[in-house]
Amino acid sequence: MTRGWDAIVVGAGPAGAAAALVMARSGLHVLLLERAETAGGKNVFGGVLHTHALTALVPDFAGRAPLERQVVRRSFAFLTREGSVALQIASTDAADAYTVRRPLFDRWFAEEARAAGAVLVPATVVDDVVLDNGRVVGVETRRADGRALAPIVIGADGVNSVVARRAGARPDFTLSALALGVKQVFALAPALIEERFGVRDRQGVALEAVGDVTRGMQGGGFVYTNRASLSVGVICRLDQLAACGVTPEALLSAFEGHPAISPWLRGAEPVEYGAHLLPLGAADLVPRLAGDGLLLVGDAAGLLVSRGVTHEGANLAMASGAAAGAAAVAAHRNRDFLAPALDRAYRAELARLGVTAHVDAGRRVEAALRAPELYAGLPGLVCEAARRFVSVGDGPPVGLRHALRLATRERGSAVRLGRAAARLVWGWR
Amino acid sequence: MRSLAARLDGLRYRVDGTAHILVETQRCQACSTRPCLTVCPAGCFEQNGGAMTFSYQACLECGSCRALCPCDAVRWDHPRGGFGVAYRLT
Repeated sequence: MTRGWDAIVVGAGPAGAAAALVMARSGLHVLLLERAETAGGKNVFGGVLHTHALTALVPDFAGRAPLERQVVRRSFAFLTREGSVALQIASTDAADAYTVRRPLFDRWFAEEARAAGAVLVPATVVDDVVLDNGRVVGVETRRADGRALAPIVIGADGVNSVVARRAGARPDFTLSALALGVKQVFALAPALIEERFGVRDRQGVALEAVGDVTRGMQGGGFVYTNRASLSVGVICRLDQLAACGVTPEALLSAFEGHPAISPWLRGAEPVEYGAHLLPLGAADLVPRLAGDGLLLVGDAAGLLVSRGVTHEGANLAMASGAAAGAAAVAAHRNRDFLAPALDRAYRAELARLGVTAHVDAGRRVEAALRAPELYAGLPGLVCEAARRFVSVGDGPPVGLRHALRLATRERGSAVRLGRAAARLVWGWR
Repeated sequence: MRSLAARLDGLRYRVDGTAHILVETQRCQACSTRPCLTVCPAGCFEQNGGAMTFSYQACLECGSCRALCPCDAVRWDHPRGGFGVAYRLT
């Protein structure tokens, strides 16, 4: 590995494999390092991949990639301890979103990069970057022939990026800019999934919920249908989770047992648990994505965008990987690997591939999504008001305003909750 | 309700002979909050009496403890290449 490479990519997840794929296709000699035994072996996400970026890279992916189910129905629910109110969006149009299982999908995608000519070396941890006068010129791995050199290193090594930290490219994410996700996969026969969720073969659903699932902390829960399994998980902001003293596993257990969730899981057999840390929000998006001889992509760059109702990570990882790959190709063409040129080319590609617009959309709602009212008060208010509004008895039907008033315990709290909701809606405009 | 132990039972690990994370537990003596005890999704941190113990074998390599330890007691690292948790392909 010690001989010179044109580029080294650390991490063979969606971001790293996309970068390696783009560079290898342009004829660069690319080393793609992965710490797991096979690419994807360490990777966890909720379960839905938006495929726009993949389409650009592998247009015929649908026939070849290991996809689980195409998401044709999504629902968003407010949960209280017992009740729920949900909004469901169904479409017969093919949505560009699929559930995938990362160990399978990432292995396939890294294989695409390898087939394009990148040299994939798994089971290899990168411990440090090699610096020459402050410029990144390679990486130190924990192998006997440890060092690999290249004029450009792409850090695609996730939220805990060793490359970003060792190169001093960015400060660590703060606690309030991180969230912890825990997930349980349940095996369930495809026919049962299709019958239970009312979908056809290879179609699937994405159910998401906020409220009691996180006991009022920022975050939420999800149920996604895979081909023969369900992914059930809870995500919670790390600082709030630490302060509240409840284990993430207890939140997950309660979510699995919730009356609105447990019927989906009936008879399903728990097969695999997992956990993953997420960079939360575009506000902390690294001001510097490039250094001398260095580019950061995907989670390592903090490129995770949530608008509350959409959650983007793997798609932005792929797009940013592709953008960084293109920037590296340009750097080789111009023989300029210093930060200003890399940064300029990378940002131009990020804008061209739409990543910048997605990040900006996330930024517009980030502060609004941090309002505790959205998770603590609003779900209860909506569920209680809706319950009263639709209940029928001897007395006069309850009007909407009266239902809201009845559902609001303290004076003025409806206004406060309404403001929090309005701020979010304003951000979504 | 499932227990954490039952959940972890379903996971595949290739356990290395040496720990990839070291916790300087003497620093924990001064820690009043010990958020690692509840936040670690694999329950790797435990306290016996007042003393903290850490076991690396069930670690899911998420990095939460590295991020949140208020006492800078966690010497966090990845396991050796190919070791640690391996999510399943089947």
